[in-house]
Amino acid sequence: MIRYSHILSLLTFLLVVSAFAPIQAQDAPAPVNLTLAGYAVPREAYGDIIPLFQQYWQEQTGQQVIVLESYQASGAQSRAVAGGFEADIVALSIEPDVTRLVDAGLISEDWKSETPYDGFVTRSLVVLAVRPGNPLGITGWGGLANENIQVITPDPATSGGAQWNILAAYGAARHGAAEGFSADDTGAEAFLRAVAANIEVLDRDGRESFLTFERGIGDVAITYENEVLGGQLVGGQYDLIIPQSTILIENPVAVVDTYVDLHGTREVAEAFVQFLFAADAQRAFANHGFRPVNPTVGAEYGLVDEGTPGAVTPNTTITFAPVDDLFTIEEFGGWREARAAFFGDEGLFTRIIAEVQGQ
Amino acid sequence: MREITPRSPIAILLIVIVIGYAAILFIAPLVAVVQGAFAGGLEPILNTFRDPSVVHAFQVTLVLSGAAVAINAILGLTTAWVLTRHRFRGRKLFDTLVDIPFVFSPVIAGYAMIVLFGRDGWLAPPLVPIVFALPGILLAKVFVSLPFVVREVQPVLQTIAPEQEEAAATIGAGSFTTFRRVILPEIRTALLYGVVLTFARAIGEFGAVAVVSGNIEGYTETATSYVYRALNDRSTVGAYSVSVTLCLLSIGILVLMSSLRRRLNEQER
Amino acid sequence: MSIEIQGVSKSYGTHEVLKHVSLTVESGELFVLLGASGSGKSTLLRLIAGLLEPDSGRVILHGRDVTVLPPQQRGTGFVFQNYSLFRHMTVRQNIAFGLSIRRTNRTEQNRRVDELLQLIDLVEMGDRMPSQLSGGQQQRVALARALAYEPSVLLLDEPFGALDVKIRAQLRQSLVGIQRRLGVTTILVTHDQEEAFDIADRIGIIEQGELLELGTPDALYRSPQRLFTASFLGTANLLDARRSGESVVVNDVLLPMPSDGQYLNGHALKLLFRPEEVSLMRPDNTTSRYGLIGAGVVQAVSFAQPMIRVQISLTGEHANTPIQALLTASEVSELNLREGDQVVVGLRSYHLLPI
Repeated sequence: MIRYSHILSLLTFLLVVSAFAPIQAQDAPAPVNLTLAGYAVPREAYGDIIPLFQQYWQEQTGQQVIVLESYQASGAQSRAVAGGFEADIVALSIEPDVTRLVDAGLISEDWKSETPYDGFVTRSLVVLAVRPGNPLGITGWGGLANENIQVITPDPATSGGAQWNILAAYGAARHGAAEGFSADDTGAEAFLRAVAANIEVLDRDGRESFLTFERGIGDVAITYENEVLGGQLVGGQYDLIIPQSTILIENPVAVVDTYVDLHGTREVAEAFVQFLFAADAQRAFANHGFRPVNPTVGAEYGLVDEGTPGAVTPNTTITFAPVDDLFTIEEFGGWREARAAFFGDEGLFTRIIAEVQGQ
Repeated sequence: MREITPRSPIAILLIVIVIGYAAILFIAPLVAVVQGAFAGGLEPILNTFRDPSVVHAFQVTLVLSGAAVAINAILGLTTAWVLTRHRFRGRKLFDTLVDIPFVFSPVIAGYAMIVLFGRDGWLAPPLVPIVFALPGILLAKVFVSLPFVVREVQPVLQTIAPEQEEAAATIGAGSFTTFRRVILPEIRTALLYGVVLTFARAIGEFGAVAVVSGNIEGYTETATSYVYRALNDRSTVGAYSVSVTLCLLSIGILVLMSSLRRRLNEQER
Repeated sequence: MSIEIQGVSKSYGTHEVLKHVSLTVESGELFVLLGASGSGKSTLLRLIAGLLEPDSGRVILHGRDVTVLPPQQRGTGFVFQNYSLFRHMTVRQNIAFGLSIRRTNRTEQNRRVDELLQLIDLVEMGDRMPSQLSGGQQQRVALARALAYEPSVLLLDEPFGALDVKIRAQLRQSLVGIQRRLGVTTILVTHDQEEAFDIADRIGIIEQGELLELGTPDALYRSPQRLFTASFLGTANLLDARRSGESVVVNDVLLPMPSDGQYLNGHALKLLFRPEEVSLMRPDNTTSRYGLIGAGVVQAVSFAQPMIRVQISLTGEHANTPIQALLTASEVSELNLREGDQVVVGLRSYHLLPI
């Protein structure tokens, strides 16, 4: 005979279990806990880097470091940290997501000066991915404006990374890289309008958008070099096309000053951030498709001069090709201006998308 | 014995629509998920469950869902009781508010929790962290699954005349005895239903948890958050095998519930 | 003294439900509280059981002041109009509930339940669920459940109200039988005067929160002290009257003072007589055996089984107060009464009431 008392005892049991649940963070012998709040894409790279850092820190100080890792979309992660997620380190996809934390008083104004490369730990490019063998013969931006081409790109309204894509397309067109459109603002706007009309799916974030492409939807994806290289490493079947002109993506990393002071983890957090710029960490990023900011490491992947071997072996299947015409966000006067001009309520792309979707 | 009556074309059409609908909504995704999980054979699945963060995600999910069930069973009963047995100003409004978790987007609920309990929040906790820690997940699960026990138990309580309690009181039963021997046997099927639905909802919750948990692997990551992460990491087998496990868990709960209900019904006979 | 209620008052907001009610019910008595709905009779019963708390006054059961005690500690047996059996328990479990709470041992419980099943004549039904019983059977089980733990007093709130007429009469008799056998002090609340007359040792008339009058059914019917009681219980003919010396003046006729009429000279009074106390005569054939109060005209003759009801309008000052009379069929046919006939009205007996 089953009675409610059995359910009650089950509930009690669950409660008791909950009290003794082996929650790692509380349970492990943890001299120091470090919480890393990252955006989703470099997770595998950090999976390689963290054990190296733990070993390094142990050797340097004899102290054990436990790194608690959280990965989600850059904007969501930034809002969570602003809302009270007490991460010691943030590794985000775009600079404005760090700026939000500066504005919230969590990160000091001079965060960029605290690291060797202006606060940017990895780089990448906005590139195009096409089906194997490039059946539609797309060679650059111009191909995206052709009729009956289905374009995949994430939605800049929800994804910070997606904003890179739009800016890359516009900037490249203005530099004359979109065949058939004049190399000025008028031509660039017309090009953007033509591309927008070809967009098949606007996903929530960059990874989701690229997974949509992987599942066979669309002819060409506007995506990131690391995304394509990383995907190819795990067997993704698509070709990478680096347009002759594109934008340089720079991904920031920063110590969250308020929280490290609260946790007393400043020293180890700063050491971790510095470690990210050292050769081995840079190689780990490169092995997952990110362009290293450290020029010595860059050389090992075909960028500039020779490097010295270390713990991480460069993946020789990855080489980073040079880009003829590489511009940065400064092309648009920095993020604040770019966002207002393109993605604000009255921004160019906001208006174009409204027109296209209104049809 | 009931005879099967010859069906009209419209009846056949309706049956086809209903079955097709079920197939598209439930069966096809289920088959796809199971197939995805077993695509690489058994070994990748086993590897998924050897991953300590997956094991931990399940622990967090089960323990916190269980706690949410316990909390909502008690609070839900109390709420249902207050709503059926007491008349007070604002009762109707309160009754309506109970359904808010059903109509509220969990993601918005999660953001609301951050506004309340987060940094500089109105109720920012001085000592124990709530959001971006386990208590926040528990709170999110409690919130999204709050109405089930109330809504299952309330209508049954309404059918119990107050005289039943008064009779028990005059006979000599104290309030606890009255609850245990008079009220509880009447509502236990409903309570059981409510508890099972609460548990299922709590296990499956993603939106609110994703917002408030911070998704820290091995700490605040739940099974559903893991599925989302694994999908984004192209770890299809991981995502699918955890999904299948969650499915089996839900189905198991359903089966358990119907068997319990049957036994309770038999007992009443 | 078994139940003593001393100056109990109860209000809901500004609405006074009970106004300083006092009442004493003797040990073993079957007392019926009779009143219309909203009169406060159920409230009084609930106050005794402890389901309500009085605003003021005291409730004393068997010499013990229970005013502030919760229902659990009063040991009353309460029977509700809607039976209120525990739906998920069998008949036996329902009856045994009070015993099992009191941790009576199993053998004793079973013995007692058997006994009670016998008492309520449902021996075969012990293992049924309440839903499998008729209303009357359920109410018997409710009675047994209230009696099982030998309550100090038995309180019944309109216990037959939800039953149909035939079952009601049967159940009334079996209640009286059980009450007599057990000798348990009982208060029964009802709005049905027939029921009250049928079973009560004494009746209390309650109206608008006041206990107007107490008495045996016969005394209350024959010689009520209050006008409300007179007209509430059965049909009453009431005529203005006053005392004059050793006589009563009514309709300009002098009648001998009844034995219970200790009223002052000139005091405004009502003369009460029941329809069955009226005797009708032809004007040419009157007898002085009855108190004659005047002549009248037959207004209506109707059948009121097993009697005949005759309505008469008196000539003179009381023309507007029709007199109701109940006659046997043979009386009516003897007189050969028709509408419009002249008659003389005589009274076999009558009573006086203060206004």
